[in-house]
Order: sequence, then C-alpha cells, then structure tokens
Amino acid sequence: MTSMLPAQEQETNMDTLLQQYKEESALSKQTKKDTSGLLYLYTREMLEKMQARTLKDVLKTVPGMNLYRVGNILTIAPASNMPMFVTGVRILINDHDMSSSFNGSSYLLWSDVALDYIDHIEIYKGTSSIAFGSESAPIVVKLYTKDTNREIGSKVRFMLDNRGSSHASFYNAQKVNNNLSYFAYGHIDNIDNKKYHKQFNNQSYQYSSDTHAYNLYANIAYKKTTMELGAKESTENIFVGHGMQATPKDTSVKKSQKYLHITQKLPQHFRVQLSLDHITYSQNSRDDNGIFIVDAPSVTRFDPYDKDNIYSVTVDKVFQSKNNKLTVGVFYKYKEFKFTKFNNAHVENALHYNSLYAEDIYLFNENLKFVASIKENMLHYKKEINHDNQLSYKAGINYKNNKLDTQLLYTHTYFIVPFMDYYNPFRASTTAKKLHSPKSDIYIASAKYHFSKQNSLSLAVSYRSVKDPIVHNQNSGEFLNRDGYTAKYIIPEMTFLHNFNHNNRFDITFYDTYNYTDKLFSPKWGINTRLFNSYKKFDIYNELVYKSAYTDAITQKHLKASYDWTAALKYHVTEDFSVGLRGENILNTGLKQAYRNAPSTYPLIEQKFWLNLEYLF
Amino acid sequence: MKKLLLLLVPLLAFASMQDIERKICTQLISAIFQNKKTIKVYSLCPQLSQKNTKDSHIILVNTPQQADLIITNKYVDFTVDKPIFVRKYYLLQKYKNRAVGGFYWQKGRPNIIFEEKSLKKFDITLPERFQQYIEYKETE
Repeated sequence: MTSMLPAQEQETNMDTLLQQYKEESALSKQTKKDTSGLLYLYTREMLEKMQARTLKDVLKTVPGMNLYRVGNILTIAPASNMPMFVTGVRILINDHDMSSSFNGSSYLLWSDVALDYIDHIEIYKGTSSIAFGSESAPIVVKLYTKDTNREIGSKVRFMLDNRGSSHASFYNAQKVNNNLSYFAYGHIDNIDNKKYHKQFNNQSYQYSSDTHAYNLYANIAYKKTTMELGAKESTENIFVGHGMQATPKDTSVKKSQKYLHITQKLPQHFRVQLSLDHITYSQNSRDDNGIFIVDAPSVTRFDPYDKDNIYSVTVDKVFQSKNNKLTVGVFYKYKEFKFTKFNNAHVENALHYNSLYAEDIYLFNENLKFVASIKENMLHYKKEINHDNQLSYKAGINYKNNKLDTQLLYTHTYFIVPFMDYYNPFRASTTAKKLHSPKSDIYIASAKYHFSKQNSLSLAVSYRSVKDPIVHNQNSGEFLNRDGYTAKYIIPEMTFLHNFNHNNRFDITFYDTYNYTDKLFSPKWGINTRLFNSYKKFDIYNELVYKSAYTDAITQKHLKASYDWTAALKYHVTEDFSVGLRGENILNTGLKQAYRNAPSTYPLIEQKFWLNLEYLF
Repeated sequence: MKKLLLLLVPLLAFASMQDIERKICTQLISAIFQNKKTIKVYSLCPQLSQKNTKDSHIILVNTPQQADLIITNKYVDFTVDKPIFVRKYYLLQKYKNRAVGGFYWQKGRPNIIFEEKSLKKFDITLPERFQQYIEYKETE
C-alpha cells in the first residue's frame, strides 16, 4: 500500500479512531454545565451498559439520595431526610419542564419515564436552575433525547421480567432532506409487581403497585425550528392507599400529560421557546376503615380529579466575547388548575409567573473561571393568594488544571409553594393562604484530583439550609410553614474512580449526612459502587448500593441496612442485535420503606430479573 | 487567543471531536486516491477547511469542476460527474451512482461505508485495510 498520509496518521487504526470519535462526540460532553451545581452524569454508554429501563434505575444510584414512595409515585429524599419538597426537584426533558401545575411535582408522571429515547442524563444538586431557564429548584434532573441526526434508522426494544411484566418500545429517526428531519418514539409498559397483604378485622387487603403506561414522543426539526410533542399516560395502583389503617380497596390513579414545545433559533444567538402542557389526574381510592380529612369526618371514598393547563414563552440570548459568556433571558408562564375535591367541592386558581434572569461566566485566565447569576421571579395569582416576588442568585468560582478541578458555589434560592399545599386535597374547606415560600441557601465545595490518567479522587461537601420550611402536620393533616425554624443539612461525599481502560471502569462513593436533629426519615449514610466492563461482545455492569440502618421517625419502625445489588449482562450477537439480562435488587436486600399502620416494611425496588432484546435496523 | 477556546468545556470537547473527525476524513480521502501525491477536494463540510488541511496533501478547490473528489453534508445538484463522498446517510441515495462512500452517523454510531458499484465506475481501488467497509449490493 502506498498511501501519501503523514506517518503518524497512517498508523492509526480506523476502528480505534471511530471509537475515539464516538467517545469524544458524546452529546453529554457538549451539554453539561459544570458550573451549575454538583453534577452526576449518566452518559449514553453508561445507560446502555446498565440496561437501565426507567429514570428510577438511575436515581437510585445517585449518592446522597434515597428513593421514597408517596402514593405510588417514586420521589427522592436527601439522605436522612423526608422526600424533597415537591417543587424542589425539576425534571426537564430537553428544555421542557415536566412539573404539573396543581401538584407542583415533576415526579407525578416522570420519575419512571422509560429511557429508550433518552441519550444521557445530567443530575445537578445545589443548583439555582438559572442556567436552565426553568423555575427555581435546587435539584435539576435533565434528560436529553436522542439526536435525530445521529440515530437515522429504527430501534425496537422488548423486555420481559420474571413476574410477567413487559416493556416494548420503538423509535424511528429520519432525515428527509437538507432541512427536514424527525424522530418518533413510543413505548408501552405493563408492570406487575409483587403483591403484599394486610389482615385487619378478619379481612384481607392487598397492596399493589402495578402500573400500565404508554409514552409517545416526536421531534420534528425544520431548519432552525424544532417542534416536540409528548404524551404520557399511566394507570397505577396506590400501594398502601390513603386510609388511616392502610387497608385500601380498589385503588387506582390515572395520570396523563400532553405537551408541545417549539424552539426557534434566531440569528445572533437568540432563542424563542413556546410550550403548552395539559395534565390530568384522576384518583379512585377506597378504604372502608376511613380516610382522614382535616376538618370534617373521615370518608371511605377519596376520588379527587384535577386538570392543569400550562402555557409558557421563553426568550433568551447569549452574548459571547473573548472572556465572557453572558446569557440573559425572560420567561412568562401561565399555570392554571381546576380541582374537584373528594366532596365534589370545586376549586380553581391560576398563576402568572414572570421571570427575568442573567448568568455570566467570566474566564479570568486559562485556569480560573467565575460564574454569577441572578433571577427575579414575580408570581401573581389570579385570586386568594398574595403576590410573591422572589430573588435567586448564585456565585461560583472554578479552578481547573491538568490534575485538579475545584469548585466553590453559593446559591440562594427558594421553593415555590405548590397549589396542592394551598388547596389541601385532604381538607374539606379551602385555602391555607398564609403559606409562604421557604428560602434556601446552598454552599458547595468540591475538588477532583487526577492522580494519573487512570485514577482520580473527588471530594465534595454541600451545606443546605431551608428557612421556614413547609411541613405536613401528621396529626392535623395540614400544610404549614414552620416559621422561625431553619432546617440544616450537610453532606460530605468522596468518590474514587479507576479507569482500567476506556471500556472498563470502577467507582466507589461514600457519603454521610447530618440533618442537625436526632430524627432520621431515610438512611443516613451509604456506599455506592459501580463496575462497568466490556469484554469482546459482552457488556457487563455491576452496582452495589449500600444504605445504613435507621429508625424511621414517622413510624418508629427500624429498617435494617440495605444492600441493593443490580447486575446486567449484554451479549452483542451482531452490531445491531443484542440480548441482555438485568437483575434488580438481586439479593432482595435492597432499600425498604415503612408506612403508617402497614404491618411490614416494603422494598422500593422489587427483586426482578429482566430479559432485554434490542434490535436496530 | 487561547482564552476563547478555553472559555467553555463544551468548546474543548467539540475541538477534540473535530480533530478526530478531520483525521478520519483525511484517511478516507487518502484511501480513495492512494496513489495521488495531492488530492483536490471540493468540500461543503466545515470539518475540512483550508486551515485544517494545510499540513496535509489535500488541496481544497473552489469549484466541483476542479476537484478529484466532492465531499458534502447536504444535497446540492452537482452537474459534474465526479466521485462524491457524503457526510449524511440520506445522501447515499441522493447521489446513487456517484457516491463512492460516506462517513456519517446512523443507528447512534459513526459509520464508514464504500459503495462497490460507484468505486468501480470511477475505477477506484481501496487499500486492503479499507476493504471491510465496502458494501456489495445485488445488481438490480
């Protein structure tokens, strides 16, 4: 062969170059914002090796967080604490905020979203969310859909578990011509979980968390315009239900969300986004032994119904110079709800939400970077609730060289009070108008040191305080601010990462938490380990999540230390066809949760074994 | 000037990705014309510009007529009958008898392909190590 290439380029094997190219062009490298908080990144390669099916498979591995079930909704609780305040976590799919209007939570439908159409996931802790142009929240879970231009073709995935659950998904991506492309996706889930029983007054009651769901998503891009359409619907059993004796009968909840999101890129780094959401929530809950109502006698049926509409417009612009990247933006959201209570009482309200924000990243020299951002939020309610103006801001400094990457961040933010807390569904009469937004200060210090190309050690400490937190009084059933009280919380964590080579890596994280009280609501400390391997045509993944024992302050039940071993093995029969097995909570010693008046403690992740078939064409 | 590149991490990642992309393109073009000392390329791809090909044996030309090879990432109705190398999968179909090969994303991964029929048409023989990328299609 007589190639005219320069010697060093000629020697490089094309397959090696392609592998390097694939790694370097990972979308996560282009989207991550490492000045926006403590970042936990799940790349496409990681998700594929994990054979992760839903977002909960990812959330359960984030250090310092515990899964927590409320109804049948899986939320996250910071270690040692109760679940994060519902508006404290935002799930964004691309730039679309999935939060509902009445409930305020992104988890309502999206904590178990299947990941087949997701390229990678970024989880930011201690963020102000200013960089994301969304409503304020200290935790942002950002999911990025697969890029049409890279996916050209189709994929089917079919999964089956040992309990008879099934999951099927399909997508097709095409570039029609120079200007037009589309990505279309759909999945169906029929999830059967283990049933548990309670005997009470000589009757047997069943706890079920079975779920049936579908999700459709389409993305159409024409020149600089992108239109996204989404529709998700699920019907679920509500596990222990809402009754005082935890004796549910025929419980179910049906939830749906449909949305449209249009993004228009304009010259000079201008961007305009328009979006619409329509969300419904319909619950049927029965408990013959009584469901507690705050200000009226208990009831045996609880069947509220909610309808939300959200409209939003966001405009932002980036000014970029040699040393500066300044982003300025404004958004307006109209969020309304119509809620029919269990007693057929009808409540409705709406929020005009205006926000102005700016963020500047300034490069002082090659190693040193400063970030500062500010956001003014103006909340005007249609009726009954007082207007509220809230300022959030952030300042940070980042020093990075070949060996060391350090960061100091301070964020002042607040929690929007969700409509649900004002219009308590478990209250016969109306509004808790006195509720006000808790404010939060977050400090983060982190450092990552690369000993060598293979080894690195990361240390991070985050401190969070919440002033006047909203609490749910377990006796009265009401939501109220604990005025004058500041909840404090500190979490140190340490991660050691070893890369054997680009296909094989191991990491271990230790974390502990201090909540400045003698009460624990979830495990206090834990150790997470992950091992990613590839050998010939095999991908192998192992994860062990250890969480410490604790006595739950609500139920006074003792929960043993948990060990959740999850493993996945995938065999690539061809480049386009793979067969996989994924075992979840294999030893059945994973994290459990206690519920009031429920006779036992119950796993948050079922012991399951999935068969996974994937085919690209 | 270094500052501008260092401003944001994504830019750095992008630069590294572009560098590898340029290396791959350069090797593929060289494989198509393995006996030529200099290869004249008409490029519509930003990854192959005057700046990043100045140290190689590839010369970028201003018109398709001057070129040994056209490399493109969008459909343009080229009137000259020259070999075309595509950077998008759908262009293989658009330039059915002229596309000698492509380097593009498909099914979530980067792919390299050479079309046997078009290679024959332009009397191109690839080096041994690139034979694995040749697609042999049944004659219609």
